[in-house]
Amino acid sequence: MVSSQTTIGINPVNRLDLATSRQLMWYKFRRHRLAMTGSIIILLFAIISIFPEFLTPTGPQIRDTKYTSGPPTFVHILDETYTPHLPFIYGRTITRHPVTLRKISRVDVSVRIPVRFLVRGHKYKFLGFFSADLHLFGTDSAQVHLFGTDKLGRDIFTRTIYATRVSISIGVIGVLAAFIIGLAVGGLAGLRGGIVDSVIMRLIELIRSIPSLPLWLGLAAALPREWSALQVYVVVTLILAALGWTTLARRVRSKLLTLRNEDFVQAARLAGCSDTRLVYKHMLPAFMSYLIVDLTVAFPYILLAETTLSFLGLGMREPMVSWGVLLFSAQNVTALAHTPWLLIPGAFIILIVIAFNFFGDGLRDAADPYSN
Amino acid sequence: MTNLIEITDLSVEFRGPKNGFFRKKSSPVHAVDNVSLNIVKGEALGLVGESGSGKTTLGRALLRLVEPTTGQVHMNSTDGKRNITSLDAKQLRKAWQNMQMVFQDPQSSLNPRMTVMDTIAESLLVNGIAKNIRDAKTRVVEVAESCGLSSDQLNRYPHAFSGGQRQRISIARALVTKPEFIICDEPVSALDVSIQAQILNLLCKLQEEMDLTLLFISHDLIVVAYICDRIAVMYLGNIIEIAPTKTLFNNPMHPYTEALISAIPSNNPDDITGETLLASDAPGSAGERKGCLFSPRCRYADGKKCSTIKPALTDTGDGRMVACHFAEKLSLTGFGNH
Repeated sequence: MVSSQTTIGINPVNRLDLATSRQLMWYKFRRHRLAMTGSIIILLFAIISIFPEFLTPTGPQIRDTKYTSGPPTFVHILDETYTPHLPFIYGRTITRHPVTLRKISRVDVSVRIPVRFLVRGHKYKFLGFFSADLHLFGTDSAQVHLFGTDKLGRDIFTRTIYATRVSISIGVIGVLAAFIIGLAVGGLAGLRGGIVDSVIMRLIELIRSIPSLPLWLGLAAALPREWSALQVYVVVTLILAALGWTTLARRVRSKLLTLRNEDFVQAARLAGCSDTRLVYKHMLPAFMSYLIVDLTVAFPYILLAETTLSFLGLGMREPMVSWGVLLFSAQNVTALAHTPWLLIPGAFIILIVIAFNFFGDGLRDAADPYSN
Repeated sequence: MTNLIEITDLSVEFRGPKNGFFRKKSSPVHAVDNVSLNIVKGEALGLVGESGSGKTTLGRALLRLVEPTTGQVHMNSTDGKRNITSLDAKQLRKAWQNMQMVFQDPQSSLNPRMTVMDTIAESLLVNGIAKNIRDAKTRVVEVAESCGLSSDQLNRYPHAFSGGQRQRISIARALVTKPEFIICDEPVSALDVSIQAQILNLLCKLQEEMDLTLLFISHDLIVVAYICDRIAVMYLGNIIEIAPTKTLFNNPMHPYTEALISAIPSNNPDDITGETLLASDAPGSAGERKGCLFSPRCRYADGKKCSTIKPALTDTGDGRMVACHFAEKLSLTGFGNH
């Protein structure tokens, strides 16, 4: 027999050679421009939902009784003679049309109210603990309403920003709950097999064959009216999660079934790994990234489901504001014709759904860093 | 000559789900059908056959990666005799320290999320041979170097390596617990031809140095001939001929073996005729099994005896065994004579 060549050429160490799977995914994700843009938008929304009190000039339930159903106020830096100033808003006068009695808002260019940054305003509890009254911007006298006000005089901008926290947290909590249920149930089906597997799969088929909208409506309508907004919030989240876990459970099961027969899992079995170690060390890491992609894709659906429920008046309720609750007030034609700015929160929904879709696309591409 | 592995009447059947509510009963697939085979200590035994002949399943059933339906596997290792088929999960893990496998595709047989060091050391750690990775390091480096890997490559991930290097990692992983018996399941068929020779040479070298017994599974007769002392030919779950390598090539006794040998491509371009002794594909392993399984494709089949009576694997002297009714009467063409 020919003697074997015992050493092979030693390649210079390449950064990629020592990279963990997470690093490889990051390198791949970074190259996806849209996904990077999406993640920046998501990051912004995350920041917004942590600091809504600071970012807004007023509170979500505070009424500007002098300025109800008022159109957005623009912040100017140039006056009518194009002379630059520090940011300011013009004063407003509200009159009524002599015949129709409709409110007419007029801009009074003779009054300039400066918009100041980091002003002290109404008091709030930061993150529920610290008392504070610092706001990013505001004015001394009349209030600034970037997105206008609703018919009770509440600031739409403030409400939209506060609603970000509720809507996004519902998405996050809903997705996480769905993730835990899906992982547990799918894992059980995939690892046990046999009768357990069959029962779980038929159950999932049953759940998926129920039309989702009537089911949500039924479940949400069953909530007692006297429940507090917080209780409703928790239960609505759970309802959305209870219906979202099925896809994930199936994915987990099918991945476990395929991976169980993969050579590297068989090799690890031969190396003497216990079943627990096989699952946690070899199988879970191999498909965790796919699950995260699924979650990212599921997030907009949960968000939209919440919006739908709230829009129909069956989800969140005042004083809890979500984007769906805000759109609820834009339901009738009169509102659309006379106060179109009530639709502005809808733009936020579109923005974050698109951002999440791009983000999910990028993650999907990066999920398998070993593909080429 | 003592037998390291003794296989008696081993069968592996695959069935569809048994009691499905809406399912018809499906007939089982006989992947491995009553195979009896001995593997001698220190030899390299080749197992060849077409795809679907059950050679991989047989290999996996020996290790009980696939559970055999019936039959026994005994192993006479230096630390005592074991009946592999009757071990429980814990004893089986202990037995696996002594019998390992090198898989076909080094791409899929290494966990891409573990460094080479962790992969090779895993067996030492989970079996309690080493307490921690630092303990294991000496042995890992030793085995890696004997497989042609340098110690400074060990903190890299599998994606940093070429196919041949990965197969070296795979071999090092199999050898780390110093097993006596290695099953190589098509270890070179996923590799470039130029790399194949390196890996084959490595296996030869390791077999000599570590006194290994090899079961070498392949569809490539030339590869098997290079490394093996004896060759067993499988057809549809049955072993139809076993002979020492040289004898098998020069003087095959089973028509199927003859056909396989005739299908080896010549390295002389003038000799390429395009003729083949095997016309159709092998029928599946499911369904009725009557008579000699090869008879529908056999050009010497007599139509009566061959299609009704199944020939048994019989000893014909010189350490050969063959399962053909007419083995003694036929004079078949060996390698290089057609």
